[in-house]
Amino acid sequence: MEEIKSNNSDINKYFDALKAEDYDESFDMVESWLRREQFFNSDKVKKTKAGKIRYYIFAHRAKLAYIVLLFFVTLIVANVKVTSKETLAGVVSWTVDKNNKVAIEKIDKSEWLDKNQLVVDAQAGGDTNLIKYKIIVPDDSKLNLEQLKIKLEEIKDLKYVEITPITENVNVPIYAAALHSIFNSDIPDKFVNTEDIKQNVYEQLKIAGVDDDDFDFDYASEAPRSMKLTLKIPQDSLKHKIHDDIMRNINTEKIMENTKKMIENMKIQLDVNLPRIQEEYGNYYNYDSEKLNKALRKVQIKLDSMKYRFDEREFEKSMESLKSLDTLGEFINRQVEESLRMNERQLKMNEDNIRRNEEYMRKNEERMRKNEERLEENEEKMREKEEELNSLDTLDDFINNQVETNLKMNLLHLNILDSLGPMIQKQIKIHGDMNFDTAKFNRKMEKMRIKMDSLNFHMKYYKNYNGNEDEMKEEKDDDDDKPDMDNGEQAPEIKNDQ
Amino acid sequence: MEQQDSNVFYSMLKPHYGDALRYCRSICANKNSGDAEDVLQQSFLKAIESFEDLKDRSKFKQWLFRIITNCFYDSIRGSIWKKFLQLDNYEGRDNIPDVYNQFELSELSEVLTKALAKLNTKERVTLLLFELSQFSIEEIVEIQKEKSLSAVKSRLSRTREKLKKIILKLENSSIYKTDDNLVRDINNSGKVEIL
Repeated sequence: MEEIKSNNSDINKYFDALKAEDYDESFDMVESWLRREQFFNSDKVKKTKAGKIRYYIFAHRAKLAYIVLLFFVTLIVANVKVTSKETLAGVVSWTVDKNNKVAIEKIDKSEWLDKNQLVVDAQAGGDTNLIKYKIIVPDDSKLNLEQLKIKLEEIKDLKYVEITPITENVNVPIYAAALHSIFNSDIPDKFVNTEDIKQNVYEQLKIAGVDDDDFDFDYASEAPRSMKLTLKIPQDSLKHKIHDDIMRNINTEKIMENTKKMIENMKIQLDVNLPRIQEEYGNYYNYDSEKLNKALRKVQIKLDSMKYRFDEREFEKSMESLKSLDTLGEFINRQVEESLRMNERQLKMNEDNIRRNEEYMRKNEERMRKNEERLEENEEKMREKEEELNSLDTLDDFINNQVETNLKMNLLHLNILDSLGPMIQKQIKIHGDMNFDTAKFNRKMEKMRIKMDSLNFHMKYYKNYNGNEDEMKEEKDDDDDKPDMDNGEQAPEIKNDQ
Repeated sequence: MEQQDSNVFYSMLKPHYGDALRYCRSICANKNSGDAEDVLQQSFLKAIESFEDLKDRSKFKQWLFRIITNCFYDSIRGSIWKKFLQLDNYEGRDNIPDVYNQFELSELSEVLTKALAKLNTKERVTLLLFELSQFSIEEIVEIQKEKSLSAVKSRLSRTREKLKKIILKLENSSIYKTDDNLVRDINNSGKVEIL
């Protein structure tokens, strides 16, 4: 007792106490029992395999009996027919205010909602302000009813989110029902009447507010049992966009019809126009009919696909491309016409150029002819002059003749110079960018004038000198003060320059 | 089994008989003595049936304790069947003599048995094989079909500490005084013995 109270944590003493327990006295008793048992078993235990099995069966006969009994009881119980209700699908319905665009858009954009099974009633219960949505969710769908309900409830402003399960009565053995409930595994129901189930399902759908006329019913009684409700009307987004159409007064079907007609017209127009242009103008105009047809086909496909999914933006895009196609036809025609006009203009211009060139040639020829005539005249004059010079007998005659000629020419030059000033001014006015230096020109003119004047003086002087030498000397002395005058020895140089 | 072999078996069993009984009683600490006797009975019967298969007779003790341990585990696993099929065990056979109820446990042994009952099965078996039956770690690994020595070592160390705490707790909680008498709860049934 004292040991216990001492709180000794050493456990060895406990084990020592246990080791001290003495059971050796009972050994003889146990040995004799064991020998008896050994003797008792020796008859049964055989060393052969069959003997071992027989012994095992004998030793466990009660256990085996229990097992066999349990097996038969289970077999009988499991085959008892039971009627169970199994959920085939569920109808989820909800309403939303027609003016609540946010909620409606959220429903439209929700990817977890199978739009192909969505029925939209724009006048729910005769109320024009409400849109009622109904969707049938098959039992085997990825999103079960409860999850769908939660997701729908996350969209605010949805009213009356309801789930109506569509069930069927199944007459199956207990084991099949158990398999279905535990492992969701189906056993074929041999007693099923598809018509009854169909009727039953339609009634349930009616209660859920879904019109049975809208659906095709398909039921597979073979495992796995399944029910398929598909909308009779080809499911495209036209159906689920109904509320949009109502909201915006869009008659989608009419639009589609008109568009199709438009495409047909377009096709005809292109089919007629393109070969005609080709035929008329050959390959000169480089349009690609294959490309055009390809583009048209693309638009056609787009419009066809819109049958299945009507998207307003898509539609508008297609319309735009159609419009561009429309102008493309016109564009080709216009291009052809414009090119023809341009060609005509070019031809006319070419003709004008040729005409102008001919005129120019003609004038040139005339000018050449005149020049030739002038040359001939000059030659004639030269000959005359030569003759005239040859006919001069004295130096005086020659000088007089030269002076006279020079004077004539100088006078002519002076006249030209006088008229040159205004002419140049005129030229500057007309061609402002020409580089005329009028000051320089005027200076030159002035120099010429001075030369002419000095020449005139020389002539006079020479004439006078020719008559009286002394007089000439005097005159020369008198003229020494004049700066512009040259001396008498320079006169022949001037004469030579002329 | 021939008579000669049979005699060898008993002669080899005799030195380990006491250890086997103590071990069997202790591993069944969380059960009553009847269950311990059942395990012992099954173990001895199996041992004598398969004694011929024991090649290395120097390892007799190790082999015997492995049989007892396996029978103990079987008794835990087969408890459901036992409720229904008691016939299998007893029909046509004599039960093993009442070996445990003949001897009263000492106080320390009782405390230890109570503490052992609070350990889990694997911990209890490992500890008893080591402390009571004096097996080495390597032998325990073989008897318990363990994968590593370190697992047994760490389990032993952990269990020893655990057992100490349990014993300490038991010592503190089971002793109190009423008037001048020391009252101690010693029975599993909750009966109070006044000393």
